[in-house]
Amino acid sequence: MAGLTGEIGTVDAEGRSLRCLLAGDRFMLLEVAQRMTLADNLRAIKFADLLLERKIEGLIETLPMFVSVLVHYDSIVLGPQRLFDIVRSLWLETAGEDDIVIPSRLIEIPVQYLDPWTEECVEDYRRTIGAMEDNPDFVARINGLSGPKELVLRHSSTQHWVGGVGFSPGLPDLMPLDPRSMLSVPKYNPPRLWTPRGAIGVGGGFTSIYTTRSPGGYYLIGRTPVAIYSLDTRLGPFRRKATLLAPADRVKFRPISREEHDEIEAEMEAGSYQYLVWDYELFSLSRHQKWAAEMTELDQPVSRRA
Amino acid sequence: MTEMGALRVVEPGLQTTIQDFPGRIGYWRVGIPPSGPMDALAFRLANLLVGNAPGAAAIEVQFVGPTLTFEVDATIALAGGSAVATLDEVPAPLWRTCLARAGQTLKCRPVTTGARLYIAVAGGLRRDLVLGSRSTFVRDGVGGGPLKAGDRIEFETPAAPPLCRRVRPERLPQYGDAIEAEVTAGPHADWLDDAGMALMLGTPWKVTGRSDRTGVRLAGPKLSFSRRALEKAPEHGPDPTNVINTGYPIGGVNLCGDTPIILPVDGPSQGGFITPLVVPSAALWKVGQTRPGQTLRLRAVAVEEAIELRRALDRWASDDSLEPAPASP
Repeated sequence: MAGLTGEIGTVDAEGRSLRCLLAGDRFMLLEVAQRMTLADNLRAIKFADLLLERKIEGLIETLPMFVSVLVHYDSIVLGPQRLFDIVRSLWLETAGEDDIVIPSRLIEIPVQYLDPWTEECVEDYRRTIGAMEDNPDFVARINGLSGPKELVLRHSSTQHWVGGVGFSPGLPDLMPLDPRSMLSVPKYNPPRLWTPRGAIGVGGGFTSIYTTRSPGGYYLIGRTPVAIYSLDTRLGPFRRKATLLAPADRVKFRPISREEHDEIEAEMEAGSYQYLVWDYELFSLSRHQKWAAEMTELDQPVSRRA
Repeated sequence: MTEMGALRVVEPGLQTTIQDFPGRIGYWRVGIPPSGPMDALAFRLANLLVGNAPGAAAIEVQFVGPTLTFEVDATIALAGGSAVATLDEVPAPLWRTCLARAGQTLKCRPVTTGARLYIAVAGGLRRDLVLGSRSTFVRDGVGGGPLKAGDRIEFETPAAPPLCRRVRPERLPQYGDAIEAEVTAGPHADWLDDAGMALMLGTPWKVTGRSDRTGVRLAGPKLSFSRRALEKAPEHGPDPTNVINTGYPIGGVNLCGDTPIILPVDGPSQGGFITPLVVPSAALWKVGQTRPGQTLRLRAVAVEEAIELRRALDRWASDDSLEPAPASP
């Protein structure tokens, strides 16, 4: 079966190409880029939204993930060739824009950093699986930080960009928007068999929040008492949907004490916790890029500054 | 208000759940899977037999079936993998309606051919809608959990006059020992080289025991890759099968290192492994009936053929496949 390919076509718009790939009879994958950048992530999220806004008959949903968009459609109503034609004309119409401005909610998530629950989880890994350094110590050390305190400061001082959601319900992939907070972290090998619900993990250049007690491979640095996936409809964000975060949201982690952690956990159980969500903001790629360049400059040692 | 009929769970079986069809649609973008039956053909036929809408809530049995008692007379139908079932010791044949009398007990012995058996009850089963569906996603508790001993499940609508019909013999699905499922090219078909793809399509893959509603894992030979997989940007990851995280199609044949994993109705919505092939919607029921140890072959079809197969499957899962049956046993 030589030359079997899912490619239905590639659309070029002013140097930006979109590779369209069939994925069975009800999905099409659109590759916005072959490299991972924030700009192309924004482009993927915006294109996924634009496609949905067209209210195309037979188009069921779009799933943006990093630098691609998975389109879910009903091929009996909307044939793959017609879908491709629609995608092509929309890409030609919109891909030329250099700046991208999209609605972006800001959501606060309280975190007890350096918490006892993830420490207990690491301890259990040592007992049952193998050697494992204290996670915050390790992450700080390999990133050239002075210790866990500086790690917490770096991690909590930036806004984190939701580049994608999924794998399991509501699970976010977060990237720091402040270049000074960028981390590079390996993953557990072998992985953990369990992780406490709400654990904050870092792996690769990403942060994730464990939505449920589940296996995992990210290094653990804290825990949030608030749910980001829940079927408890007493809580505001979960009245109409079961997940808190969506692509293009921004998350700000707020460090909290053990006392506040326990208070918030009690409010969660009572169904009275009030999530802090700012729902009226726009995110501009060009303004962020300009700011990030300045911040990168600031972070250089004095001797290396121009 | 009319008193609704109900059934009670005496023994739940291995992992017996309530599902509907097509399940929870529209939440894939936030990672909530559609769920629904693993074999949507047998599921729909079971519902149609008892006069329900094809997608009405019904029971999915996996390998080891439940014991249920009925509080009222109910028309029921069993369809799917073959299993010996009895109503108070009298055999209850598959693929036709049976009348369960008030107080009678339905016992399902283990499924011996295929993997999953469906039990539909006239009137459908009552369940609260969660995100628009009555399906159960066991792993994350969406729509409740598997059935437990002592559960009482009400029927959605009161009993209608009993029906007596069966699936036409020539329309009975076959769940053999060696299964062949159609596949189309996936988004990463060209990440395998020609030899790798030939092997993927030529191999009698073994279904492994680590298979469930979230993934059907296959064992077989090591595959070989094209330059796309071997000479890619570093952010894709170190393994030839790693890719920058991307959305997964339902039915995708995901390649995780050396292990192909078919992602069925409870699978993950995204991840960092390639999808060289996709089992189209019309062939997913065959994967849903595979058993550990069985062989599964993948046969490539064009997407146009996959769409035709879907039309044919929808005709199969319709009243056209039913006929009047001799009187109930």
